Amino acid sequence: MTPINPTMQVGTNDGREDFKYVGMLSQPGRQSWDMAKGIAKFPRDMTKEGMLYARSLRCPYGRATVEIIDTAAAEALEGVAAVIRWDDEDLQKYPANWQALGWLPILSDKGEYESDECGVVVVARTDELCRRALDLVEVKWTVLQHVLDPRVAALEGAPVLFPDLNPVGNIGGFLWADSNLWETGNVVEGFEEADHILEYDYGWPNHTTFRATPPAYLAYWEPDPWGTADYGEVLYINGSRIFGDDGFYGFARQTLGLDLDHVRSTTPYVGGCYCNYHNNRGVCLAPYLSKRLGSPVRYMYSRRDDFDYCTPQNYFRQRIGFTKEGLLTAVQSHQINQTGVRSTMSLRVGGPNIAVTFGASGFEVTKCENLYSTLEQCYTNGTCISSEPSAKEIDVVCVALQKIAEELNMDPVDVYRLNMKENSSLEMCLEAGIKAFNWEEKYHAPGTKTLPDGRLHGVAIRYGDQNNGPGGDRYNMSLALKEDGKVYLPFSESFLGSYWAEMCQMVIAEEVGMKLEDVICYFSPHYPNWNPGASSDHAKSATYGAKEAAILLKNRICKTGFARLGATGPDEVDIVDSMLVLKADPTKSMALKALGHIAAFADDISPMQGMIPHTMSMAFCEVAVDPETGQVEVLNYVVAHDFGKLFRLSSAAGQIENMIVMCNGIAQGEVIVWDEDTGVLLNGNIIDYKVPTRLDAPPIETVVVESRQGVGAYGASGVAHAHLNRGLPLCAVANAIGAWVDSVPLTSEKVLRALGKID
Amino acid sequence: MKEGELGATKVSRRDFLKLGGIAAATGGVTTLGAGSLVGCATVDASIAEIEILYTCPIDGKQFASYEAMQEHFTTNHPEAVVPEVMTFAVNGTSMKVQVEPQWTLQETLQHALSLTGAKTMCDRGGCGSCTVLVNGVPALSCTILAIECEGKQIETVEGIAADEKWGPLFDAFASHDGSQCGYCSPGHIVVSKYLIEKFGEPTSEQIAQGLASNVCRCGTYQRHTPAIQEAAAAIKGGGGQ
Repeated sequence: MTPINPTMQVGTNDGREDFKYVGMLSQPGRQSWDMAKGIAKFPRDMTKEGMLYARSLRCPYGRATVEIIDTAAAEALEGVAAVIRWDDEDLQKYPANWQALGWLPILSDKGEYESDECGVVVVARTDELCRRALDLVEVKWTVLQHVLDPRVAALEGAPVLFPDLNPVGNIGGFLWADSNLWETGNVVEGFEEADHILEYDYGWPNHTTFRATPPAYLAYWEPDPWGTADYGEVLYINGSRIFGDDGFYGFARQTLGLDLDHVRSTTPYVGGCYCNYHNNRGVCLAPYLSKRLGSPVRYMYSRRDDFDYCTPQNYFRQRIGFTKEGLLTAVQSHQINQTGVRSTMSLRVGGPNIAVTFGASGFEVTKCENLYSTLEQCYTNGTCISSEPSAKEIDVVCVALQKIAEELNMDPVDVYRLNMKENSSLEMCLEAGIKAFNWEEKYHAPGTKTLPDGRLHGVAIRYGDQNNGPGGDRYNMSLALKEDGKVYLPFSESFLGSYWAEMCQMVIAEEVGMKLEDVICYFSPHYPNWNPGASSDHAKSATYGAKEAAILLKNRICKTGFARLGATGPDEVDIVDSMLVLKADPTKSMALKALGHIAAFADDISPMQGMIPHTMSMAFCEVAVDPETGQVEVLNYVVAHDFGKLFRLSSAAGQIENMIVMCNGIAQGEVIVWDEDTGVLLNGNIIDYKVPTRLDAPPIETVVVESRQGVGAYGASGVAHAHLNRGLPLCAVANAIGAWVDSVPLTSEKVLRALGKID
Repeated sequence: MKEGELGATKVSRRDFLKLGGIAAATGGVTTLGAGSLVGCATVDASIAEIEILYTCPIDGKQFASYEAMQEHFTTNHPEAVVPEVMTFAVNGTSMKVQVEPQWTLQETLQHALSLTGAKTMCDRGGCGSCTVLVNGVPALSCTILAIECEGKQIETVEGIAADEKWGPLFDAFASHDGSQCGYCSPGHIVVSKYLIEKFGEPTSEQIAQGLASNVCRCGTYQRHTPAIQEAAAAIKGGGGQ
């Protein structure tokens, strides 16, 4: 295959074709046995001798302030080690930190959403005692007005929720959303060129992105493991190092004023992470309490406590203009978006929605040059917000292109080809997907096909690209050839399911010339560096860094060993199957262990995907809709994904399955529900909140496309973010019933209303 | 033991009970599982050595046997009632365990016996992550009180892992990437073992129905059917030992 990317990066090296391991096998993940056998230690499983437990008071209202608090009875309970109020003198020494805490102190008297941690934290010998002590705390609350819906928060006259952040309204947000207007071209002229203009609404409520394991932060302090004099104690805390210092226990570090080398991770097993950048206050409070009390402290959460991670509510009013041939000429978008409570970057008090982009900006992948977008990003109570990179812009484009197709009775594939900017990756995915899905046979005009069982049949397509999330990561790869002749890569990143460590192992084996089994990647709590590996998109950056480090190490090994084989320079030797070999006479070789300890270190930032053409994907979906009940069944998905370069089929396809299953759940039923009057979460558990089971998961077929256009090693690209595709089933339902539902989830009520069968 | 106190075990090199699990009850966090070494041969660490301790609720003293605690009461607290213990049969080993009446089976396995394979995800019987076999039948250990289990045979994922016969099941889950974050995997394994025992070579439909209440937030569902069928065939063919 001819390399497409003209800019060769050291980590990408997309010209290589002679692979021994990359893409050649899906060797089992070494952590797989531990996970299946129950051996892997997740945060809730970890204990430490002398460990105390901690829990916080939870706000019982949508928004409230502690007015009076009496903790005497809790303090008197036998087994309680400490009861620490928000106004504790020592606690207040720790500065408010916007990024971690939204300008709130480490513990506040403010409950900014129902179940917010506030007021008091108790520490006791057992978790049961913590709960009992909290029951004994008497609190008088000042209940304040709350707002759950950003559309309400945006209204004139709505209660001002955070006057310290915005004294006159609820518009907040940061990063890409600092301004509320974005435009390019001339949208007025664009609409004048249009033969057709459509206006419609699209949007979605909150769904939760809770992790499988309810958090349980175990923190303790121990002397420097290497015994360095005057180094001080090192904080150990379980969590994910995802995004290095910008996430998770980076916030503990910032809040407590520690430098990076004084914080260590304790386990790679964290129980999944679905773009929820946030952590609970426990990530700051556990180390604080441990330091203060001189004991390990485990800060506990129940499932209910952890159920308020949500992706933001987004509501769009879209206006699109297009020619009679189907070519977009103008897009106008108004978007109301939810920031979460304080629009911070991390903890539960906030929610960054850091990937906020304007509703029309997604159309930059199209040829349309006239785009105009306004955004109201509003503070709310009710939830903190995780992120959903790529989702908004991709979803709104897909809905728009499908609407054009249906308005003009065109095949959506033709509309895509007409409107999308030229991209060889997209075309490769389209071709592969059309064939695998049998699109040409399955597609039909809206509302025109009925299945033998009387249900209405529908299909739709959706593009995805990898322009968000993949790249720009710092990496810090330290490779060492050790005395046993094996190459070691320590890391302190988490295992989230992408099998990124196996991919790094493959890259190192390829580049150094090792047998796969002679490359050992190992979790090291005492290794304070990080590799940005945990998610599939970041695995791409990890492989980039691993490749760079491997090239450096190989050069050093050859430089150290060439003379022993009688060569006159390092260029005359090579490493093959873990042996140093004389190129001119391969019968002359030596084991690497004779060379002793040789190390190499790569520390840089991986390139952003935006530097080169995007790798794309095309997802295809088939649904059946019961016109009598409105029930939607998704029959199957086919996903043609450009992996750039495929490393490990099983885990690459697994990332797609992960997102499709989750997003199919979002499209079909997942929604967080609050009581509007009290702000109390009503379905904060896995029984009342519908999480998809295997009976809800349709078959998913992955079709491999490899364009070598990504920014990982050998042109690899990421996977998961591109498939946050709740809009795909919605488009397929429109094709089935010949009418549009304007939001997910696709409830029977909405479908029947769209069919005109109920008011 | 103080009221409401958990954590009545510690790792011991003296007793050797084939309980399953890994020896990390109070050993801290250094033992994370062999798989944290990518590229190394898997070390089978599924045999635990656990010493069950009995704690005097009055003075906190701990004893290596129930009889020793009884003797302690006779000598030091003759007026007090000796705490009751219940007999647990876990993974083929019978033992006396000091439990509180409100403890669930999951809490007891985790905190009193250091068996962490039965996971807390939903804590109300809605996800299957805490599944164990009670008298050979899948049961949700987060919704069963420990005191209900006296005299019943309890089998956890650690016990299944310790039985070489079931090696092909773990191998198949590994080769199919049946886990992503891995938190729900033990619950899936326990039910899978039950399905293979019940049906021999379960059909796709039997697997789908049997595992319908096991939630995987990472969406690994379609990996499990081929893994279980592959394992069932291997076990039937004598692939296990």
